[in-house]
Amino acid sequence: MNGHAPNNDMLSAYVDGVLSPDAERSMEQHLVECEACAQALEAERQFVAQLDRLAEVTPPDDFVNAVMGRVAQHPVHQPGNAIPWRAAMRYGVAAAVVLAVLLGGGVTWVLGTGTLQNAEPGALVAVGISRTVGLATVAFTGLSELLGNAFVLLEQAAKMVWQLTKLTARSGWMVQLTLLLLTVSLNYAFTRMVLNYQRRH
Amino acid sequence: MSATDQEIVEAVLAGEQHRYAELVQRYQGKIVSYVMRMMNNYDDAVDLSQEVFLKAYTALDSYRPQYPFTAWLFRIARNASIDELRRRRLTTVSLDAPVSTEEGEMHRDVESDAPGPESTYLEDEARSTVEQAISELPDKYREPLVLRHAAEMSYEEISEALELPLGTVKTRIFRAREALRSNLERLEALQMQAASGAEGS
Ligand SMILES: [Zn+2]
Repeated sequence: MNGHAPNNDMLSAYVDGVLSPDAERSMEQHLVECEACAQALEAERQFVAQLDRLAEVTPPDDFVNAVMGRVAQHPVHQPGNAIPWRAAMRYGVAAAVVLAVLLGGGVTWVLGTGTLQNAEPGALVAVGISRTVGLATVAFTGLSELLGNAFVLLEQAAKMVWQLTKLTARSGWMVQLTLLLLTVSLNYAFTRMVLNYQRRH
Repeated sequence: MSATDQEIVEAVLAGEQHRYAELVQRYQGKIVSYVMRMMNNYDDAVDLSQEVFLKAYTALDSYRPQYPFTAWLFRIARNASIDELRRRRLTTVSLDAPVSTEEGEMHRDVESDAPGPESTYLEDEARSTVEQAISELPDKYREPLVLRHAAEMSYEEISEALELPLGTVKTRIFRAREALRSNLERLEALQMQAASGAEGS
């Protein structure tokens, strides 16, 4: 003990066994030498024991049966239903982010190969949206064709999207938002760059 | 050897609804004791404890097995107790609010049947001085103290359940005991006074 007088906090902590090993050892050494502290400790022990009797509230005998009777009125948990909606939401949002980033790349590509001269930002966005829809249609048609003769490819693509989704779901909303903003600004910057290049030639 | 909490939860989630009785059996005493110290009324505590176990059953698939089951269960018990106390406080307030009539405002001539701590104490002579002293503690001290002694939780479990750092939990429990000691002394002095007053008249 540093000097004398272990305070009530330390006695409380000692009785509950939550002192650090060092503090506990010096407390024990001190208790051997100091009658006053030994008495204070005994008082603390009795006080804590008195408090522990608060736990002696006995539930009625039929408590378990009463609860189980009401539980029986609820559906039995099914192993398949184990995915809570929160997790499902998280994956849904993550999947949307991944698709937006992947499609964003597509938009950039479409805009970049287009012949938009002196376009205003508003026009770029409009064209971007309409071309994304177009691209999605083309992609869907293409995928249906692939489905016929190259199912493996689709599976690989789905696996990749799933892996990215899992990764994004674990990363939290800050990262997801950053990814989205990054995609938007990169798309915008790259499109401007391509347009400027086309104007000069 | 009996099954761990996690094993039982797994079995219940896999469709063995009746296994839930083991968890109710295991924790009924702690939950009823805890809720009893929060509500200060045995019948209310038993009713609310049933609700707690029912809520825990329906939400069982959101329990994460890497955390102690008790901490999760007590978080449900705690929220239920706080909601119930808040609901009662609101009922009391709305009864106290003046009623507007054509002759102007008047006060309702109704007494709330939820008694304040003072009248509960006077009505229920069997209640010990310790329980009275605990009910007078501020929430932030009463809660960890009640979890420690009525629910017999470890410091780590309390820290999980209240989402507080371990150090804060220790400090609050020690402060609570300190405050309790002085509350007790004051109440005992009051009782002595009342006793000698009764003799005198
Ligand atoms: Zn000493």
